[in-house]
Amino acid sequence: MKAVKQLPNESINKVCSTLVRASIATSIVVMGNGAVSIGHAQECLGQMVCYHNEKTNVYASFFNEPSIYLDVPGYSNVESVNPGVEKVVISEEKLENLKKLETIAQLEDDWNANGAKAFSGSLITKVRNLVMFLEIQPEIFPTACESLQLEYDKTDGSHLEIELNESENAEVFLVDDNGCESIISISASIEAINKVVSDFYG
Amino acid sequence: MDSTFDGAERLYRAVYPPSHPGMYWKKDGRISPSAFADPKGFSVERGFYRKSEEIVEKMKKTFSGCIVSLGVQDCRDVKAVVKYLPSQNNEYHSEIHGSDTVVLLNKSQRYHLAEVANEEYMEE
Repeated sequence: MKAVKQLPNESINKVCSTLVRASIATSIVVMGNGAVSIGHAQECLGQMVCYHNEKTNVYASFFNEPSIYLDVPGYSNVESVNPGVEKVVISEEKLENLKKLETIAQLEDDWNANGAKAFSGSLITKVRNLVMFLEIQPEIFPTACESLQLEYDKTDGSHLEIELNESENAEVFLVDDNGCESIISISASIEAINKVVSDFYG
Repeated sequence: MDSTFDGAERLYRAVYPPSHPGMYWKKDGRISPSAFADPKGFSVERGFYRKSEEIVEKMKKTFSGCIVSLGVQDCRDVKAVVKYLPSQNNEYHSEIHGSDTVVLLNKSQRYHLAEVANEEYMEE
């Protein structure tokens, strides 16, 4: 497993796992600084990755110390953080996007010298959550229209934009490899957006 | 200098925010169309036959970051409207609008203008 840079606990929802008494794996959904719920327990030997409702649980064998850490740190750049706690892998692309979102979040009112407003915390959170679960990472850009835009480009010249604002919908602008353009409105859910991106890449 | 634009005239745009010059640049070296979205009017400095270097140097006195340029004809090709709107502080101030009645450039216009925009200056 690869350790990555520490990020503020309160800004990221994360799933970590720990092992109790070396043979039982427990999934803990950690929100902010404390454990919210404890998932099911099952016997686990070795390392296993499971996916359930968009959460990635990593079950791994640890040593015998009975320990469920309620204050589990997020992503760490040191090799060992807390004994018995496994680290979550995050790609470089995803990490770059999360960093960029933090930069965008810090833009203040009139950041474009023409009255553009700062971005709301709820929009930043929405896009951050999307970034965490998008199968293919976009490039992310702010607009002066109080929206954030996810962009994808292929080498054949086709282009995909997904514009997100406070509403529950997202506006999709697509240019295919023949230069034909289309605009549609979709739900701003991770499922709908993943599907659009998946269709774009075929 | 009046409200008439020659198709060959170039328009220069300071890309905000100056604190993050690379904010709108993609990994492939092109600028994102989102940089052209401004519901209050996409401000530019008209070239009016001045040399590019002269214009960039003038803009750098009041702005640090990134400067791009595009042609008036590029705007007309996507049916965008260039409006000469001099201000007290800048006799060259102009704006690019989506149409005579719509200020915001539409997504197609932004996409095509981003494709043809030239990078004139990037602060390191």
